Amino acid sequence: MSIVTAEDSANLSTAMRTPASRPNVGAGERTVSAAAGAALVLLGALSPKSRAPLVTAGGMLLYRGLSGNCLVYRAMGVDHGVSHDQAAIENRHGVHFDRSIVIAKPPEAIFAYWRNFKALPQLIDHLSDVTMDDTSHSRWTAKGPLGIEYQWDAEIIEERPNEFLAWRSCEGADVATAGSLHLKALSHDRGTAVRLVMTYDPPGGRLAATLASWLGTDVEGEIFEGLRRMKQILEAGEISTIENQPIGNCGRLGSEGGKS
Amino acid sequence: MKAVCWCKAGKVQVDNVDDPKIMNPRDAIIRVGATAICGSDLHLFGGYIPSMCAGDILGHEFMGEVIEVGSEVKNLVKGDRVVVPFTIACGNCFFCKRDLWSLCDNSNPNAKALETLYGHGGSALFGYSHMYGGYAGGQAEYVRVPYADVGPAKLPPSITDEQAALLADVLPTGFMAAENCNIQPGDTVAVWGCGPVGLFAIKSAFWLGAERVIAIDCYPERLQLARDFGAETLDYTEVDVLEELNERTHGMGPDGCIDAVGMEAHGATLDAWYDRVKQSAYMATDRLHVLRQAIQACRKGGSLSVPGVYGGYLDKVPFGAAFAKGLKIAMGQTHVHRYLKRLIEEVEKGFDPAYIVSHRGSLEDAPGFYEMFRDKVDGCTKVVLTP
Repeated sequence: MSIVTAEDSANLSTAMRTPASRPNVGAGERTVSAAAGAALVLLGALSPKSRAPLVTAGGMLLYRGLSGNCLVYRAMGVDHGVSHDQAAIENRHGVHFDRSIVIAKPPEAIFAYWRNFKALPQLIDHLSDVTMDDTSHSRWTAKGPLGIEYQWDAEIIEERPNEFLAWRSCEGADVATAGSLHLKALSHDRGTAVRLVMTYDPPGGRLAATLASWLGTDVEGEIFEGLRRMKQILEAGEISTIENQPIGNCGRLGSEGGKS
Repeated sequence: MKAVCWCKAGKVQVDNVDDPKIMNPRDAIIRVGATAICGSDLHLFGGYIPSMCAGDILGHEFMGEVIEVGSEVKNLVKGDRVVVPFTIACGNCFFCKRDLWSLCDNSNPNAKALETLYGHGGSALFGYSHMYGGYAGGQAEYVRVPYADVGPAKLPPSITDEQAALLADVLPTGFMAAENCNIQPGDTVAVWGCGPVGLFAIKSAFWLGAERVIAIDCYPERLQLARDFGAETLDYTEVDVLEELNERTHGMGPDGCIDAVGMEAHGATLDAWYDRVKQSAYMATDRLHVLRQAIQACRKGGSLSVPGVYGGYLDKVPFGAAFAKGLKIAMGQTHVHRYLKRLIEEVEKGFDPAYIVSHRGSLEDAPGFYEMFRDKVDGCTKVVLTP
């Protein structure tokens, strides 16, 4: 059962500014395109006779795979870029996160925790700071790919207490971002279904997001860990951790080893 | 402090490491009084469980004295003697609230790994690889215990340190294995593997009302222990197990079958050698001889209980037989928290779990004991270490 209403979708669609060239190639096809493109470029580099056509064709496939934009598809009016689970929000260049988790607490507790955005840096690794200017305006600081810092102001665009909260970056921000939290109490004491949608269109768009994931900054993974940590805090009262626990050195550092 | 550390497949050693510290409000620090080497530690020792890192502190069976508690631990005080469940559980999530402690949602800081592998992840375990949370284990002088307000159980003075260490895993695991057989009066239960879990499953099956228990192994000392606990025994190197089980149950098959062996099953038949070759070539992660035999042996509508640990994919499991015979299959890590009260009472009433302990030593002796336990030499059935 979907917990997003038509009204939510409309709000979020208007919250997002549609870019001129959003992806029109499906995810699986993009992977194949990028891989085939890379192979052709490599092949071209190794064969002097047919270097130019191979590198050109390979480069086009690579661009198509990485950017999700196919000029041929666009000309033909074909669009495989929007998948059904993402249709609530306009598909984007950047990061699109949309997942749910069940938390064994009433919606009130979860809403109150999230509504104070200041708690978010404790949950989500790439957020270094969030401050509240007033009840609806906040200032966010994030560590982007390659350690670059981004800042933006955000505003709450709709709030239905204990049920729905939507926010987006203000006009003119460096990072186009929007998010929403959807809460639905489950029957029979099963807690609350928490759905979080967050999108980022950082400078560099999808290409930057792809590169970042190669470099080990998995933004969508970090957001999901954030959801999980919120569940841990609300249910267990603390975030589980093994940081700074003792570890042996297996003799590499001699008998004094393991002092980390 | 001294701790038994995993270095690589086939190598553990005792290292000097930092003492553990309180990291969260619900933590406690325990000074370990006794800690055991588990048969499932041998899966780590052999390198069959992925995501071990050099230097990881081993051990998930331990008891000891509380020496420090976090600000949210109100039920324990310094000096309490406790046994610590090997499964780490928060006590508040969907699963803990339903008494399914080994499936806790919140205790694993690295839950992503198990979710990627299995769809959903279970609770964290002490000293049992990073996919199970990576928590430093209890084969050490001190150990940090998370969620100490719901895990550790206080011990009456009549229970010895050694007995208590066996309450952390193997006794509750044997008990849950028997409980998973849905034993009815008159039932016959077959138990594959007479290591500590199998032996305690035998004892528990009788507690739960089984009329007969038939135990299967090949090591004479283990078969003797099984007989001491009241079981009839079969040496699988001497008889055809399926034929013999059928004969002893008048053609019906055992009502309950317990695979207390798991992923490293030995065997004397062709399929056992097939598994061995495949596993050594990394084409399969688990050797399945016992599981196949248990499915084949079990009576129609009977229960198959799997306390033995499996890690990966199974090949040539007679699932058609399991379906056709309408077997009930139950498995998983033990919900230790669920059983501790009852089992502490059994020990208080006179059952001595330490009867199965064959070797005793200090932490320094651990590397030699791991090899001895793996190779099953010198009648090694259970090792308890005193730091």
